Amino acid sequence: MIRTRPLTAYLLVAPSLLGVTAFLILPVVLAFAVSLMQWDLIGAPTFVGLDNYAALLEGGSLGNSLLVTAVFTLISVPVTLALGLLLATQLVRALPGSALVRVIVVIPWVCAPLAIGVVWTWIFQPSTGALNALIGHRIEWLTSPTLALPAVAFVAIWQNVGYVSLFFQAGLSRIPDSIYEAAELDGAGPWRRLVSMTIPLLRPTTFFLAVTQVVASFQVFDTIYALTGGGPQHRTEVIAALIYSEGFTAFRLGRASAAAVILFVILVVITVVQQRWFAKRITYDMS
Amino acid sequence: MLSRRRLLTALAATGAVGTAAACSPSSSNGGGDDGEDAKTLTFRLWDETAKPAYEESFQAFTEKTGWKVAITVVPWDEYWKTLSLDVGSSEAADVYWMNSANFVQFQESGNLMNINDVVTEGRDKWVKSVVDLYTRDGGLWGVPQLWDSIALYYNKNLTDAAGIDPASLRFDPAAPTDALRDAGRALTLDQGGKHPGDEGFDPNTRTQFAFNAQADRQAIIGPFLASNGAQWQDADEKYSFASAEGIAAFQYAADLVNVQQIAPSAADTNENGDFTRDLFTQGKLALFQSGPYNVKNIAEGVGDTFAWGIAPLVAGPAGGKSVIHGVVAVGNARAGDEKKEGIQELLRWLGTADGQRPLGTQGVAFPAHADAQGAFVEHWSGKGVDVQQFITATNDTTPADRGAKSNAGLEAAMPIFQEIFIGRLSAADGLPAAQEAGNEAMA
Repeated sequence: MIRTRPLTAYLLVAPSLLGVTAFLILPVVLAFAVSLMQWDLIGAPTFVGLDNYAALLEGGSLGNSLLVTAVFTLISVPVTLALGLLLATQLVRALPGSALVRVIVVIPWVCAPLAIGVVWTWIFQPSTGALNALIGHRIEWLTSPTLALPAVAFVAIWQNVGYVSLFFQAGLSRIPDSIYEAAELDGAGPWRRLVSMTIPLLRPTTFFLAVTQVVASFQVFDTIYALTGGGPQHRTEVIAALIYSEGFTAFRLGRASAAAVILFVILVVITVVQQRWFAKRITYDMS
Repeated sequence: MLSRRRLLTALAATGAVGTAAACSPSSSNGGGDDGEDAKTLTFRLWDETAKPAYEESFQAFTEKTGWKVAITVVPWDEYWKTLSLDVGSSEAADVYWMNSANFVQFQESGNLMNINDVVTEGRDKWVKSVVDLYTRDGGLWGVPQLWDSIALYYNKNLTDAAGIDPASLRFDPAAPTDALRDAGRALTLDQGGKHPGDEGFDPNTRTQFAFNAQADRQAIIGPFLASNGAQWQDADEKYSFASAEGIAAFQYAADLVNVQQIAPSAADTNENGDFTRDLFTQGKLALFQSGPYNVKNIAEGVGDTFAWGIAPLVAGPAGGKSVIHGVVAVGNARAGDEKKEGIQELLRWLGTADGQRPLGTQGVAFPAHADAQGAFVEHWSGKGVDVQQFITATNDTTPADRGAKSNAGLEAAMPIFQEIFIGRLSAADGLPAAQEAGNEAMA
């Protein structure tokens, strides 16, 4: 029998605990405290109670940002997961050139999001951009209120699909070939095998990716900052962009913190809901 | 030991706005930690092109006083965020650049030295309009460093070919047409060589544009509104531009893009403010209204490819009113006692003609000291560029933004200005909305 040594255990987790406390718990607590103040960074903060929350809710900017973030998430996450899975099913087959393609599709995810945003602003540029030159039409991708958000979501999908496919490839490689062989003998076609076998067997991977992609899409900032700055007409002002704008453009740290607290609560709720939804589903043991 | 305020600022930056701050560049440079020692001061600015001029100036200052100065450049896009964080955590530079749109916030919170207590001689040599911009509550809150006004750069080859005299251009929103619109049509060409108004003219294939009407507060919006008799801010420093004159002038400027089709699409210029400057240097834009801050870029960009010059800005019914803006160097009032004497010495030096002259001799900007301004004129005349029009423009001016948080006000109004320029909003609808949004942000 192994005897537990509490002191040793605490010592071992202490560095990690210290980091989590200093860089996660304390800032979250402090964000809540600042959300109850009026503060421009330069002067002294003054306590205003829940005024910042009320101003955000009454002003409409928070509602708009939440809606934009939700639409962005609904566009980008399902498409990224679907394309990532599709890509993974092809790359896992070890066809000629697969290794090279695997590297190429991951490059956008490795690159700095801000740099990617800048490059895509050049590509989307109405008069001199590569995309319009390619299609032969002048389309105002990033300044059109209807096209800006889909264009931004497209860049996010392009950026993340390789990363998602990596996880799906790992998940697919854990599914024994014998299961597919048996299904084939029973007459299951490719579509049937995908829907009834691959997708259910990938549920843990899908759960992980869905949670992380939803959380990431709620926190997306730098790519959008570089592409549109939240415009036009606030149509791409996701909640992280609103937080930045309130904090570092209007210098209303209290309101920025209130929006950050609301974002934190939303993410916790989404994660818990996702966890419960996936927990109810059957997970197959392939061992 | 960390002060409570510094700790609060540091933690707030990571936690309160953590999602955004995590994506922004570090503010580690530019503060008081750059190679500091007991006799070293720190100086921060946002313009990389001015750094060599200050290096030259500070070399003389060091020889004279023994104080060394470490210069840090923080790019404009990051400057105000970084400065606020550094001031909040008592890490600001000893002396730093300040503009009129931001200084009140720093002054009201007691972060700036009163120059009246520091510099007592030679102040009458400073450009008065810049002194006025930074005079408030009985104090002067910065040492004027440089100033800029607005004039009209023109491509001589294009204007000569079209028979246009750039100095004669006028606009009048109430008239059916005017010299600017007529010249605009003559100077705009599509791929087929047609002008706006010609049958078959295709704006999507324009190869040459006439004028840079765009959402540029200093070079376009401010001068057009003021030259049509509109007021930008009232006596209480609240926006008051949504007057009948303001709306008419704004709609006129937007129509140059969308109706007259003589200016590039706002879809291009909203995203990239330098788009028109680049068109000008490429020889694809005939008239570019801007400030002396672009002289260097234009001279280097154009090179010998075409002849160009500088004319007075486009005048309106109320005259040709240039936005005049000045940058000052402010002293950090919260710096340690051991630095106070050095900061005051440096501010006094920066207020002298000798302290500012390198800004002129290196062609960076018009120095704010009258005795140093000739250096800038001489520098550019030596390169064949006559910058006299910028000096002439100071005879008829309209002030730059002023008041606490006026930068935040402009940031709130600007997206609506852009919508008017792109043609999705009329000035009649958009300008009152922009005024309200701006005033709310400044409140």
